[in-house]
Amino acid sequence: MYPSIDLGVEARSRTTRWEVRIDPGRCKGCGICVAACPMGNLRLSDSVNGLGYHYIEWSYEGTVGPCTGCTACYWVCPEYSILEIVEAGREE
Amino acid sequence: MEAVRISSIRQGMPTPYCPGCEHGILLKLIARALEELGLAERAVMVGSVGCSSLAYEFLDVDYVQAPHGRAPALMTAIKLLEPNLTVFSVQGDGDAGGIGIGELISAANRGVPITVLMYDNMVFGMTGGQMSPTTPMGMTTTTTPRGRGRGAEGPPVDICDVLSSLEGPAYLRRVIIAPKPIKRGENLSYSFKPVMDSYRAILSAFRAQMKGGFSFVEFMGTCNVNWKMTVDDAKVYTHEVVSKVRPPRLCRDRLGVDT
Amino acid sequence: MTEVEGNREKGEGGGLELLRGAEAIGLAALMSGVEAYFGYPITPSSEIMEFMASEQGDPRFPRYRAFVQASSEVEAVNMLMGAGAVGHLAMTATSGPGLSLMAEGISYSVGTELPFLIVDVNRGGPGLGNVEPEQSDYAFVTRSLGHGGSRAIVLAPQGVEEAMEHVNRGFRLAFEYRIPVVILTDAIIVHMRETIRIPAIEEVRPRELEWTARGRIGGARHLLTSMYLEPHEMRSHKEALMNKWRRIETEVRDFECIMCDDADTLLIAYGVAARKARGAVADRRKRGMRLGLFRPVTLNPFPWEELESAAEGREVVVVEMSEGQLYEDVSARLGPLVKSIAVPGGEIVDVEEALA
Repeated sequence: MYPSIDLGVEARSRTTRWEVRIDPGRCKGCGICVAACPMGNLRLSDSVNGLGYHYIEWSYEGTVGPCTGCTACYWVCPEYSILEIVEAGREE
Repeated sequence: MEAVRISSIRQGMPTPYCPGCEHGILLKLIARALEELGLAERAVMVGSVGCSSLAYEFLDVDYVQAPHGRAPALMTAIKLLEPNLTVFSVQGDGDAGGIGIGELISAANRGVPITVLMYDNMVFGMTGGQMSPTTPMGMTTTTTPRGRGRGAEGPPVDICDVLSSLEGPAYLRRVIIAPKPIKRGENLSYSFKPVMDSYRAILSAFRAQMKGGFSFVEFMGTCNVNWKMTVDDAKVYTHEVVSKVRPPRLCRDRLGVDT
Repeated sequence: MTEVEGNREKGEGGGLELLRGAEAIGLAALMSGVEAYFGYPITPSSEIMEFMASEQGDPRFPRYRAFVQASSEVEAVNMLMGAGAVGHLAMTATSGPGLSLMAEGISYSVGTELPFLIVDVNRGGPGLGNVEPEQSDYAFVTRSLGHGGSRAIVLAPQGVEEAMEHVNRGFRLAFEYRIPVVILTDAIIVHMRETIRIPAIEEVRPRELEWTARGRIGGARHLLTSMYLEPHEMRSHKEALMNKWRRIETEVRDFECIMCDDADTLLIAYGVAARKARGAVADRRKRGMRLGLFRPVTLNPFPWEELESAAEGREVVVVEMSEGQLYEDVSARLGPLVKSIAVPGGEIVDVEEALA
């Protein structure tokens, strides 16, 4: 039901393409998810949302590698801005 | 990871908390735990005064507001008269550990199956950062401008320890909820292990209630705004300084519910 | 005693019984369907709690299922709040120092609109005072029982039988108007034994409970709070509370008039002072002096209109076992010619002697 709690991120299935669903309107730009993400998939946007914060943006290809679906961002977000981590499809 | 549809989070509402505060994490975990255990429809949250009093803006469960520190008394009556409800509170360290400590001790020792979830950030946050019963020695707050211990304050209270001296409670645990700063190469990163520990503590606390016991969890969190630190520094402070005086601990698990 | 006017009805009740006030109050609560008693020992009210403790498990009253001796009156009143929040009948009994501790909880309950019953057994005050009977909680319970415009209904029985009727009425009013109700008694009424006819007591089964916090269960969640942070929201809320209070004033106020119509001098008294005043009225009437008694049965809302009309053209004497709290209110309404017989401290007022 809930994911592994390994501190480091073990390589997970590379055949699954994960997707992180975000509600940018709730984000308060605290940056914890950016720091928590081991693959560099998250960054604070240059734009601001309705609350006036630089909100979070996610990309599948991160600065370190593709998103492994580790769910670190989901768990550490205090705003419920990271809504869910889903399987978006498979890749070879 | 399978998405859990969390029905108990009010849609579209940002939390009323400061950026970096773990209150939002705690409430999210509560909502998810209620969902996972199937308790959301028959849950009643009793309120407090302070930052934790705003929980009702985020959590979409039945809510009864209580005066400062008195939640355990309301919860006792509610549970005695409606035993099928899951009755819990989210209280701060000032609310549960100061003005409300009498009610907390009485309710805990009666052993009525309710759940007190105490968010401990070692200050009175809502009112601007005054000393609380759990503020560590030496810490500067607005009412201890030269650090706790220089006046008539006395040392802080270990609430989990106080409750451990009672026979009545069934489940007592302290966890750190603040994500843990770790190094990844050159950069500061965070581990979400504390969040998972907190999630398991909440599940265990609700399970203790389902099995007929009183449960209490103390969540050590940050208040970067009132501690006058950055978000990162506050988390470092919690894990390097606070964790030495308030180490995470399973103080009691009489019903064997801890995971 | 010739019969009374007023808007009080006597229904069919039970047989004659010799009952002490404390037990009668408890019995009336049980017959009304009380489900919880949350109390704290304080003289002279503890006997009520002890009776309720001994009544646990009484098969005649299966609805009564929760008794807790709390760690303080603060805890007790907050337990009452919890019971009210889930729509169950709960009560406590206390005295002055305990009632002061309950003021916070009562204010919260007025703001949140929660129902429960408090029996105040008035003793000497202020402070620790003594454990003799006084009528010195009048101002406290009527003017503002708690901060911020908190207002509770206050009933004032004159003896054991009426105390039973008021307990029943109190539960009904509490749930009908979603408001705390105080039964203002004193050390005498709670400790005396009287042969009474058990009044007609109807079990209270509240019907409209959609507002209570018993879980979402497929619908919207219930929010029970007294916090309204935005001024316009607070204003609407307060206006609604005041409208409710106006309705209570119209529908709830109650009094008794004993030989007011042809009186030259009108006594005004409630509770045990009224019992003494009745004796004085009967006695003086035998001697040809035309004395009457106006007895407010509800102290909040107070039957001011009826008092003003009964007092018109008459000499008015307020009789009370306090330093003059009721007199202050009455003279503010009726003017400086109102007289006062005020006996604080615990001595039972000798109306006859005082009138002489």
